[in-house]
Amino acid sequence: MQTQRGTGDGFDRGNGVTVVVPDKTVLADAENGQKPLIFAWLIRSESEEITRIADDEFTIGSGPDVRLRIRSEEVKSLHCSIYFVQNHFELNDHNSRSGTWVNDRSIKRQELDDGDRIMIGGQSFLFRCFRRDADG
Amino acid sequence: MDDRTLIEPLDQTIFEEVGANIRGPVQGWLTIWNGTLRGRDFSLFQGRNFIGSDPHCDIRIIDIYFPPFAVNIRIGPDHWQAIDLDSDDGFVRNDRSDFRCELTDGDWIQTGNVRFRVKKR
Repeated sequence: MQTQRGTGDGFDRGNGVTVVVPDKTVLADAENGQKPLIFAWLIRSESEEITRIADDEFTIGSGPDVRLRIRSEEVKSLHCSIYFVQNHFELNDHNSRSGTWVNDRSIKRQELDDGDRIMIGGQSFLFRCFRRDADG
Repeated sequence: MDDRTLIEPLDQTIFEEVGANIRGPVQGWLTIWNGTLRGRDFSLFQGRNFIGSDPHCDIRIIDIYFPPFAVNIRIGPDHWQAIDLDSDDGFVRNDRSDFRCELTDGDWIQTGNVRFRVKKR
């Protein structure tokens, strides 16, 4: 399915090319320079769906108020969260029954590295971010 | 047994290009660190990825200071290259001017006044 989401206006030129017009929110952020930029991605292994992480708190669960919703009996309403803290990412499990796993290890709170494999309720995700030692 | 798990990405800040499935799987991302599109990410695909303000570019950045055809990020089976498209000065990669170079994960590219960073999937 072809989808497009975003806070700005975008339109399809009909040949697979997307045109993006800057939106006022991004413009304001750029002018103020207040919010640190956050770039990370979760890639679902099974379907290759990609979800961008752009905020300092990214919630995952089966409930209606999370950022990434996984509808599964094994997944709590608020199952876990990814936090951007002091220029790195941390994954925090919210006392889930089935647990949150990073590279085949059950975790409560774990710093995430580029390439980590996250397992939530039987669903596997690849975590991608810029490596800290490569920051410019 | 059928997989009845349903994944719903609800993050409204996600941006996925229309036509992503036409060009095959996403190979990486172009992230923008300043200017009017600061904070955006664009998917990069196998083959050419023309970046510029011209309507024929794959990633079009509408900015009066941005060249019509700035740079091509060419992705092959085992290489990523940045190739200058139409300028006298080329682009800046990791603070060095260049016209054509191999890209590594996390490299910075500046063209015009816009700073990019590439992320390989």
